[in-house]
Amino acid sequence: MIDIQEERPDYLLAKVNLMEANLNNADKFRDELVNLLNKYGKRVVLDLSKITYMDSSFLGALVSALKHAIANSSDVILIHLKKDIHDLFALIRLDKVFKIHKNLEAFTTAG
Amino acid sequence: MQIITGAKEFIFLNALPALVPSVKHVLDHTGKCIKDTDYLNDILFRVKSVVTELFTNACKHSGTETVKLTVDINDDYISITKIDDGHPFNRELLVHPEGEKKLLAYDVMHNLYALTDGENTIKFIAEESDNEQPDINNITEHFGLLIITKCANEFLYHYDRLTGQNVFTVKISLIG
Repeated sequence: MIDIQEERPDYLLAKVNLMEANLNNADKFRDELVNLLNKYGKRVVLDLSKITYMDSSFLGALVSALKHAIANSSDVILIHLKKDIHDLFALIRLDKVFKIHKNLEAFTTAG
Repeated sequence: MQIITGAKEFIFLNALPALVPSVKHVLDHTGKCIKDTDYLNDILFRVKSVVTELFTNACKHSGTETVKLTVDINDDYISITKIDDGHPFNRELLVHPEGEKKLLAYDVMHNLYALTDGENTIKFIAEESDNEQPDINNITEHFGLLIITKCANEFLYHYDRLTGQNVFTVKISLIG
């Protein structure tokens, strides 16, 4: 479900290999992301470009994983969100909680 | 602006694999009816989010085999009504004094209230806090009702004591 794309000294780039991110896969996704954070001990940059549907269960899983990351001095950064998905984050103000960038270049530029 | 008005009833399987196809079905119908609307993309985003959460909620909580959904479009509003025979949403809220707000959920960014609005009916209201840098540890992980409430111009829950049915009604404005 989460494919590692590239490991860099200060972050791990991974792609969420799902079109429909919902109740069906939210718990498994959270467990995979938490395992990545634990195993690599660095920030995870998640490419969400494939996701066209996301529900509240998946948002809850993302927030749960972010809490785990922050508690371990790490972070989860989101890139390549489709407009609807970005609008969903903005609707419930999760764009103030997650670092969201247009693409990897924008993330690396911002640091 | 040309809108195809009228009501259409959908009955979907209340099962996880049916969730996204059901949402697509409702979106296709709605898109065809309001394709010339000024705020088409914004309205379809709201419909998509609301229907997704209504179905997710049904999968999680109602325990029924099917979900009945009606999409009723007039010149001003889309009304989306979901009816099921599952467990009542929250009996305690239904006996709350008329017109009184009860805090349903909160975190550092939102308060979600239930306002009694007639017999066996509550209206959901979301209020934002002015916290611009919220602490992640003080944020909820449950967003379903909040998403629907913030997408809707009006979001009501009614418990029909005669039939034992739960009726969720969401109104989304077509005129901005």
